[in-house]
Amino acid sequence: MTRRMMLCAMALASVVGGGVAAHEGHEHKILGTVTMAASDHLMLKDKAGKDVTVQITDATKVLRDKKAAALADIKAGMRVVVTAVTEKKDNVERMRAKQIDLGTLTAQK
Amino acid sequence: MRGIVRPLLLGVAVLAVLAVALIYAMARKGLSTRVEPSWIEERAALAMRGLATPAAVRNTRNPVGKTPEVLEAGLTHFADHCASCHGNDGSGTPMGKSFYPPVPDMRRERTQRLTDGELFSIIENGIRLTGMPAWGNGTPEGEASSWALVHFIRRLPSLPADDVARMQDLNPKSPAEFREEEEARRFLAGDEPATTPRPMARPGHH
Repeated sequence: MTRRMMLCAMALASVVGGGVAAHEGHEHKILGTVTMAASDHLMLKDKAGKDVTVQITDATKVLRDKKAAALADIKAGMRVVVTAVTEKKDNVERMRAKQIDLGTLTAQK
Repeated sequence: MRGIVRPLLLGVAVLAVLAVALIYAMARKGLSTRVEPSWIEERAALAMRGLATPAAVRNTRNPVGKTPEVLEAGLTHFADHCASCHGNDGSGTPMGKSFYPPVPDMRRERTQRLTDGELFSIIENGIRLTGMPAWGNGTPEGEASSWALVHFIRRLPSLPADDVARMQDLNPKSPAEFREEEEARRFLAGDEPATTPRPMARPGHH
């Protein structure tokens, strides 16, 4: 009887659904100047003057003039356009970079 | 006879309990597509994908040669028609991943192990109970385009980043996206100030 009840419960769980969110945040672009570059995140000052941090993952693509570049090419003072998605992990919202387009390097003050 | 009635009644009771629980769960939570499909729905979608391919087409090998021109045509076609849901690299866009069931990561085994004929048939005929439409128009030119797409789909697991980046210029764009791209291009080139001063609040305005 217990086995039957367990089977019923499993069948019900499969019908009702897992409850894991599949939705991903919308992509948006951040235009900014790099203030600090690390292997796993990037800090920049956006066009509005706001400090923004984006996470870098293995899947993050780095491009210069639409050609593949390396993370090591990112320097402080460089203009970048980051295509990022907002994610919520452990109740903390963070931005994950999908693509980083590199631009000109401006002199640091 | 009596031996059959008891299990039968038990079976009916179990089904009734399941039905009531299901209706209760639906009424309480609604039917959102923001969850992973249950295995029953996943099986149904996969079964539909299997049924979408006529037996005669399943084992058909790609009749279109893998020339540079065909590969380029496949890339261009994919960027223009498929990438809005599947992404230029086949991993799926946020919109595609919000479908129910979500679009698959086409770089992975589950898509790559399909035969040429199955991929062709899916492109031509679509898949019921999913968001995949039928793109076939019944013309030889249309079929040749679909076979070129099959060649392109085979390249997805190792598609170079340069090709993915090049495809961005081939994706359909709205006027607003064109403006956004132009702003990004000018910013990267240093043609725009690094920061734009915020407008000052007007006095007496709350």
